[in-house]
Amino acid sequence: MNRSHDHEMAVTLTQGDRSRRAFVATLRSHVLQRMAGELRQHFEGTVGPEHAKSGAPLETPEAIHEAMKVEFPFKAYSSVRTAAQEMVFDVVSDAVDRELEMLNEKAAQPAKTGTLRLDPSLQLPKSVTGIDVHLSPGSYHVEHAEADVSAGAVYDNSIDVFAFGQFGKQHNDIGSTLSNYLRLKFPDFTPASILDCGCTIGHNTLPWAETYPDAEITAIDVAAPVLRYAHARAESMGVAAHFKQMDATSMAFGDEQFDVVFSSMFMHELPLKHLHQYLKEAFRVLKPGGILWQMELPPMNAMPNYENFCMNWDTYYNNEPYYGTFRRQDYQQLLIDAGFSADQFVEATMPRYTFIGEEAFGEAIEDGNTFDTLTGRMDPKGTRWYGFGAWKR
Amino acid sequence: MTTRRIPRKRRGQRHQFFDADGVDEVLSCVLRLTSEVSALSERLYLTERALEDQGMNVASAIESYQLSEADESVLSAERQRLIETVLAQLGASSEGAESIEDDLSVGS
Repeated sequence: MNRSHDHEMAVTLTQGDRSRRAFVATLRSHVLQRMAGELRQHFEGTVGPEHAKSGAPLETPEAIHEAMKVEFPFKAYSSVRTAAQEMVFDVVSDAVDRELEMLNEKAAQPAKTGTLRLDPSLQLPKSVTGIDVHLSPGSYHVEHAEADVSAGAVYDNSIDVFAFGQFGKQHNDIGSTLSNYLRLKFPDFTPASILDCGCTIGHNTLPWAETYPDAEITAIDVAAPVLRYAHARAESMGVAAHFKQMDATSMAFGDEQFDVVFSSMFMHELPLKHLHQYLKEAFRVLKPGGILWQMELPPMNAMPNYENFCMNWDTYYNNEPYYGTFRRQDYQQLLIDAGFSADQFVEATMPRYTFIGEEAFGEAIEDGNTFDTLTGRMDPKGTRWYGFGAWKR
Repeated sequence: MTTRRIPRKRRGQRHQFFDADGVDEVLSCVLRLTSEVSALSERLYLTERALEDQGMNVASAIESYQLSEADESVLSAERQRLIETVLAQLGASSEGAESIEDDLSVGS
């Protein structure tokens, strides 16, 4: 029988599961490559020139969106993309449903290396409970059984389909890329304690343990089901990590506890008020000499208008309402407002470490940053992740 | 059929991209149906390969096969699953999304 992953929290896949997952992954790739390419051609060849000719050139992503949303190629692209997004969660849920008791039992086994600490009294923010983020039914916090891991299992399985391999074999490329950037760029920096905020299933937490084997790894999230799964997944992979249920906007840690505060794809899910609170908390828990270092979507002011129009699709149509507001911020100013110094700001665009290997990666990060069609996007031609943060001096 | 505990339909209204009502939902149905056709085609391909490995005349064996009551029961359940999958977006929404407080809204 096929297994979904090479760890103990994997589920058994029937040939039907395998076929349906392969179909939706192929459909997603088709939408994001072929249909998106045709949409761009329609804009560059027809819509853009027509507006320029009429004396009303499309000079902002919002103007491009207004002009494009009445066009058939945009309607078809968006309708198929929405259906494909819904199908991602549908096709992975059958296998998780079949094996849910077994998964929950495995997750309840005593820990060997790491820890799991849940806080049943934690009040989940409405930005988490009010919507089904990413169109995922039940989102990441809803439980369907006692001590349930299903949201974590669905998420782990959905990444296989959603990202059609572009996040790496263990979905860990973002964590690998950002941690190895620090290791190679700042070889004298040897963090002893690393915190991952909004970790979900810990897929980008665990590579930090590989990059810095002597560091203690802690990861927090507000959702219990993903934390139970993250803990069990890490245990089965033999990686020691400490998962805690905690709100990153109000952490229970003391001041100056961590050498690195990391997050990936986290801030764009926060309302602006919570984003400011989180960054102040990150500054507070960082040790002097430590770094806040986060993978995120590139800022709107650095990207071409058409790329911003493409990226904004998620905030309009994929239940990520804070995504657009986040990308409109001045990232450096966000950190200054949280207490960091302007001259300690760090940002980089990085090729994928697990895809190209140490040598090519080391050479690539010596080049300047580039903001184009491959920055922050899932593209088999060569995605570059965007990272930013600051040292606390 | 597996008992479904994990919800398959998200909260809230779907976005309407096409002007006419229902077009987006029909397109979703078509894509889900296509997924099932794909899975079925792959199953048939695998069946043929597995049987050929055992030296069996596949076409002849299929045409002469007589369905039992147990076969009918299995196929009936599979038909029902197929219909539920294809028509998943046409049912009523299970529950509405909670409203998000104004101070958390976009553009704040």
